[in-house]
Amino acid sequence: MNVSATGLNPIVPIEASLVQAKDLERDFAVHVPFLRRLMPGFEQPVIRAVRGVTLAIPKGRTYALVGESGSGKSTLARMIVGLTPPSKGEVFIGGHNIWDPVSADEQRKLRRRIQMIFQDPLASLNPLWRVSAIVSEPMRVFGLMPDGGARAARVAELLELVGLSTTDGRKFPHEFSGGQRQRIAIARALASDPEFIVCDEPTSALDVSVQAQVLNLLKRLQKDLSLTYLFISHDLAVVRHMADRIGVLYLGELVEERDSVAFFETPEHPYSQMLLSAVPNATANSPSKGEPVGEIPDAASPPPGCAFHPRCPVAREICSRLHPKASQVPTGHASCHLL
Amino acid sequence: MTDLLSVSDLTIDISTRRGELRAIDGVSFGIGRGEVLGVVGESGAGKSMLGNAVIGLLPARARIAGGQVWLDGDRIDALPRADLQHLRGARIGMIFQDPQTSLNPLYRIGDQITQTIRTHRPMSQTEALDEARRLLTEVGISASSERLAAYPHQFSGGMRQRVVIALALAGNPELVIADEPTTALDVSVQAQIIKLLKRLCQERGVAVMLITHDMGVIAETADRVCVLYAGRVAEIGAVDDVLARPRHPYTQGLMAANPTLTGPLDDGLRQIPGSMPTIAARPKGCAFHPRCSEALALCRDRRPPLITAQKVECSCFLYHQDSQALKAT
Repeated sequence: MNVSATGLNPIVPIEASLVQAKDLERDFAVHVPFLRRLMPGFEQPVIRAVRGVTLAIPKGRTYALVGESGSGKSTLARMIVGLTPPSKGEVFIGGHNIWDPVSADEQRKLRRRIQMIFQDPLASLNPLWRVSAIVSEPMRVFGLMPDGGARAARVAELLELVGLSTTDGRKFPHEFSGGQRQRIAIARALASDPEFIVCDEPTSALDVSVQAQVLNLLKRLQKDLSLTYLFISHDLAVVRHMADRIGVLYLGELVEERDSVAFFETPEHPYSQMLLSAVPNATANSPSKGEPVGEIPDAASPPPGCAFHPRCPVAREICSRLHPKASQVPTGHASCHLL
Repeated sequence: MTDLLSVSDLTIDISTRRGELRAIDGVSFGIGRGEVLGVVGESGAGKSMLGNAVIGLLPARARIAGGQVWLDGDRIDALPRADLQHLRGARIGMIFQDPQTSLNPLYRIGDQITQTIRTHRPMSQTEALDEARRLLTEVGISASSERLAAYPHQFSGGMRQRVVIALALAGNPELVIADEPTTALDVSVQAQIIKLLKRLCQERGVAVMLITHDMGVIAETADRVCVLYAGRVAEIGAVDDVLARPRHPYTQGLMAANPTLTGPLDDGLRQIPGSMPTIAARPKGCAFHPRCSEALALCRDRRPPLITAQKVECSCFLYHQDSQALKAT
């Protein structure tokens, strides 16, 4: 039996999962002016962007990472997708370690199975390329469909799959609206026939009516192609509609990890409760009940003990001294002294 | 006239290479003292253009082609430059989306606030400094000397936006225009800023024009809401009335497309097909008809006027008394 970094048995046995991250950490060195670096007793300050995160995503499921800016969600995602090397820890896709591949060939094969959708489609699509070139790029990179005719047919098929017209391949990104551009980015992500897609705030740049279209499309594609998603968002309402499992990050640590339904019914960590109470609600005309206070601290100088204690409404004396260990809660774990 | 701000039939044209394009098309609304009017719409609806027109900050290519703007009995849509400068800051305060760009990074917070105060009010430096301390306390920042001497980069995003709010209030304005004041902030900070805006509005009796794309922010802050679509008012009324029972098919679609923390999850989100037309390609008739599931034949050719449908004003032919007769044509 595999034991996670938190010392608890994960609900999903890690071996059964398509994606596994084990005890991931990432430190960034803070830039210090040259002369100060020469001072006696100088110590290189370090930002611990991600600290000891272990998670597992079963095939065909969506794991959502939520947290505010600076919580480390994007750094964690970039380590899992293979863009930022971890300082410590391992990432497995289908049992293969992506940061320690057996061979260059194996690494290419692994990379093909992972794709990413970014927040701003205008920035992630090359403005000088036609859509057909953009969508077929992963096929060229990975040497899939060497035959030009087959590749063109596959591009047309992908464009139809994401709800665009086959003739759109001749156009340039600027000829599309924001929602259509995000569809192009999705088509490109699907071109290498991946199993696992990291969606980093895929709808944050879109309007509400268009966001609904893209979210529904992602769900349909997941069902039809049995895709596995790591979904990153700061919007809890969006996450509720997408995720099977939820991990809440605060200053680089998973403070709560639960099944989605249980999380939204009874959030256990005080930070999760604060996040949920802060979401403005358009349907009910009751103003939100919680009283969010303060802001996420600077990751370069995190508070001692529990990182959340200065903002926590129920903090006790112990919280400022001792870093809380994860406690088992229904369908997952949460790190709080009060649990 | 009871409203503090009254905008009637405002029309704004933008000159482009393709000729004059209509950005704002006959928009009317009013805001009373101490009232928060939420202006909601998606990108391209013209909501920021509307706010900028009220405070006289239209880009050079845009001009007011028709209609009037009145502030407390004074007409303010065709003021000369010098009068506009008195209007901005002194009578109308403005809060922009990104606090990082609306503060000068090279000046101390205290200097920026005292300078703004002294521009608009006859005060000595010492009086202005006292006033700056009072303003900072009012927006929830401990007004110690270190805070006043700090530069914007030493503040967090939420604190910076509080400073921007203090600046907007420095001239003691009657109206505050807040253009997406919480969009750049995290949810937990957004909730604090919304509460602050609401409290200040109630305490000072300031009218607020709150421009946002977020129905949730409207629900928590505004008294009345004006839904814009393609430069026109789709619907305007009390927040409770509009959100509980939206009349216009666009508002209905917007509400249904908004993911929520409660309610069923089974069949996905309801989506509105297509996207907002660009300003150069606005359809004839009702601008929403190509995306509307209930569009009638006449929606394609005739522009629906704003009519009162059960307390709420709504521009949709479905609510015309003779709509049944119209449907037949």
